[in-house]
Amino acid sequence: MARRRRMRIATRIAIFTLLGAGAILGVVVFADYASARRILENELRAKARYLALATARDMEVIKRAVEKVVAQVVVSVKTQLPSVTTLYVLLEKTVQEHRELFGSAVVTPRASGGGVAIPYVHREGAGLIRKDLASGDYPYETLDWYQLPAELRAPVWTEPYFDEGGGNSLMVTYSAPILSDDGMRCEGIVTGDLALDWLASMLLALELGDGGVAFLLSRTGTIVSHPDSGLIMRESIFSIAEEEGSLEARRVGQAMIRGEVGFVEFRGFRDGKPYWLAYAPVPGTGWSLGTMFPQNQIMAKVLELTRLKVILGGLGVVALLGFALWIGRSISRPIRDLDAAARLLAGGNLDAPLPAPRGAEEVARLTGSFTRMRDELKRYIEDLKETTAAKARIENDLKTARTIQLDILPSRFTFDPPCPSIAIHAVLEAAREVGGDFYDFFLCGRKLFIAVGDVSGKGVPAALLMAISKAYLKAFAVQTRSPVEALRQLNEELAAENDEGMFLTVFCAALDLDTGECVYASGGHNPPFILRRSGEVELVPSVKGPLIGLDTGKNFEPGHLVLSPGDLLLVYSDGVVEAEDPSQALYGDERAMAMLARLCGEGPRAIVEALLEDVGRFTREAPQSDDITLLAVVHRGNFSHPQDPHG
Amino acid sequence: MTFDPARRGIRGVLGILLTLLCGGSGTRGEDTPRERVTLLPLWLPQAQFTGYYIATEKGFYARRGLEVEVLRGGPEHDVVKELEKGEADFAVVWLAQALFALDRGVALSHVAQVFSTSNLEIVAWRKKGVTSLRDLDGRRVSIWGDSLRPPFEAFFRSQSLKPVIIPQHATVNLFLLGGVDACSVMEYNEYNSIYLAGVDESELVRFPLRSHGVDFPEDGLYCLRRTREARPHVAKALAEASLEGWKYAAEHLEEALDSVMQRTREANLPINRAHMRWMLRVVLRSVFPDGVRPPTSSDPKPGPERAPGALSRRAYDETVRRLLELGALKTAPTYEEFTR
Repeated sequence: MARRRRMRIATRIAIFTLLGAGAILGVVVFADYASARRILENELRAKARYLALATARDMEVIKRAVEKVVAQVVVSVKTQLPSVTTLYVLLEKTVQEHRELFGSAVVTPRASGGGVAIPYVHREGAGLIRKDLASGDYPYETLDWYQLPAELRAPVWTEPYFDEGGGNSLMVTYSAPILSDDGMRCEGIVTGDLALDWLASMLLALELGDGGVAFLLSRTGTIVSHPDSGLIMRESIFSIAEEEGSLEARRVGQAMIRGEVGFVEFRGFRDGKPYWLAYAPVPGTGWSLGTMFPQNQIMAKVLELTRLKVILGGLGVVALLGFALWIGRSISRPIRDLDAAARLLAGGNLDAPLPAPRGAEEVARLTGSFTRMRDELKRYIEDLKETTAAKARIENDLKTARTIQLDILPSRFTFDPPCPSIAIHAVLEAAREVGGDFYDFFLCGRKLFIAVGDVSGKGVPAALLMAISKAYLKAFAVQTRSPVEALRQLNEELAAENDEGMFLTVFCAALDLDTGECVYASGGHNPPFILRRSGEVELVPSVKGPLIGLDTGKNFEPGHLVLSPGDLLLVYSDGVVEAEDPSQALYGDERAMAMLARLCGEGPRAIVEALLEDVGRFTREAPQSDDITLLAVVHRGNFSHPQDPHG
Repeated sequence: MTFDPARRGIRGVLGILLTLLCGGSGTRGEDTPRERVTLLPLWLPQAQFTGYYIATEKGFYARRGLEVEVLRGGPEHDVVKELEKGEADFAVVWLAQALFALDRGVALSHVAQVFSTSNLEIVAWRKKGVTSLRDLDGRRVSIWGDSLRPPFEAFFRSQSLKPVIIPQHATVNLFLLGGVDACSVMEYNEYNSIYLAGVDESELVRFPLRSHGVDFPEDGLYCLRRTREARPHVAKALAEASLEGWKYAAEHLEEALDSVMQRTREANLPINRAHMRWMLRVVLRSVFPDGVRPPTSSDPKPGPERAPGALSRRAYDETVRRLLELGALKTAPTYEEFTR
């Protein structure tokens, strides 16, 4: 997985680099190829065009020479009306003097009359031969050189033909009519022949280079000269176009024989290869001269150059690929290392080493950030550990404090020596680990002191004050044997040095075991309930008494009541009647008293537990908001004192 | 054609097999020496005579007991004269030429009609303002002379046209140079020569004679009557084998062209294959007006006059009528006499 991720960055960089560089290389090479091709094409175009025009001009010179010679003969014949013998001499002299002439003939006005000669002189090897074309089977009347000038009444260059029976050579003939003075009748003909092989040798002598070929078309498109002699006379540019099935070639041919100058791409003569073809007319003849250069030969140079560029470029791209991979790896390696370290970190091993950041680039900065984050985490965790330990210590202390606090309270509800006339039970449910409530009971002579206190506030301060208060109260009670005096002294003691402004409520009573009389005092505490044996529930009559611990110099009003045998006194803290249900309704005196009434006849333990249970039912899931303390005492009677106020 | 005795055995077996397959029509046993026959075409070697070349090369003649030599024709040869002089046993002759010869008293015998339609046309320059037949009236039109001229004269007569006739010879260069407004052409030859001189069809107006009622059958096989009477089986075999050659050419066009090109090269003629292909395609239409395909049993049996090789009575009568009308013929035999 980690490996794949690492490869992904490197590969992506490599691929993008390759694509980008490849595309650029492709565009550059293509543009280069195209421009080189264009340059070469232009050069070739210029060369081919120049060659075609120059050669055409050379041929025109020859052609004009022939035309001029023939014209001179026409003038001689017309003006001198020479005899046949003179004509032979004239023709011999003419052919001799003009190297380009292959032969020349004269049809005199009289010759067409019949029976007369058509004197013809042509070259044969190094010499000249005389021939009478009118004698023998020579079908002069059917031949173009004879018919065309007569019918057209204008000089004409014939199509190439093999002059069988005449010059016995492949030739073209310039044939001029001798016209009557009014120009309406053709009275004779003078011809001048150009041998085709002579023309061809002239074209073959052209130094074209680059595999170039020069060829000559007659006015009907017939190939008059071409390095491939098999084409001469046999094929025309149009028959080749037909064989190639190329209308384009036909159009080129038509442009050529129309005498146009051009440069085109051309599918070649039977070999199917593409050529560049330049063409130009030989003026006045209807002939067209073409120079062709094979494209692939021209393009071979460009292609070679392009191939070299592609190879070099390819090598460059490969090198670039290696470089890109290297860069990709050098980027991904620290990231990968960091990733591995981060995984260890995430697994909780904060001491795992992070790669050392190198330089100031992004990955190094990221590594630095990781290091800082790790250090912060470490520090935080250390702090947390300390805090947690401290908290645990406090909790432990609190637990101990609770035990101690509970130990402060009497937990055995019997007396020593036993006191069978008293049944007593108490319970304290602290809202927190330690509470501010307390209860106490002890015998002092024949008197049973009971007390329930409730320190304002909760927690440790309350617990401390509760402990002090309980100790003082017991001491003062034992010393004074009076609840009133005990509370007064407790108040003096606490109020004297109460900077925190803490206070408590206390109910304290002293029950005479013999008479059932009960003296009590209250420092702002809830008046306890009395459950009479008969089942009535009453409140202990209220007595005045301040909250304890606030002000010195206060007095407490003593209260008196008598407990008949079977009567039960229930002292409680306000945590009972102020217990809240989830809707914050209070448990209240009424509910407590009603509950108590139903419990008539039960012992103190049962009553305490039942009440506690009922409070629990009432509050349901609501968290306990205050300490709850209940203390119930029943005086079972056996009084020596007969005066029972309820008696 | 030289006779090669070493190959006689194989050819004999093949001949017998083919004889059996073909129903034994007109064959001679291979045991007897083959009869030497010369055939003179009307013109220089070209696709016009493909069927005869093929029949020689594929052994269609040999299979029928003939050893045929196709002679070289050309402008210097007069086919009828050479038949008369015995320089050729058989010749390819136009129907009209044959009728003229018969009229002159040459005892010609019609062996087979190979081209059943006319291939003659008049082609005119559109740029010279010729668009319809009537435009030819008074125009300079070059027309071949001699025996090739009567069909055109019949055509002008039937259309009541009076063009200025200029003699036309071996080439159409006078037409190409604009020396005449129209010229005579064979569809299979000169028409394509004009096309192959770079002239597009759209520049021309064509008037095929057969489209205007002058449809003279052309190439036929002829011999002297005495040859026919002396060797009737030879004439029959020659006709059958020649037609088989034509059929083969129709079905193997390029192969047939190879053969034609070979002949033109041997004759050192300046002829190209594109032209010969055109020629072969056109003349095949004339040989097989209904197309070439193997006959099936469900085909209606073609009438004797529609079958390749047969001369149509209607075409014959029409040709004779027009030539008589023209005065080109003084007398003519009946169809029965001519084809006897």
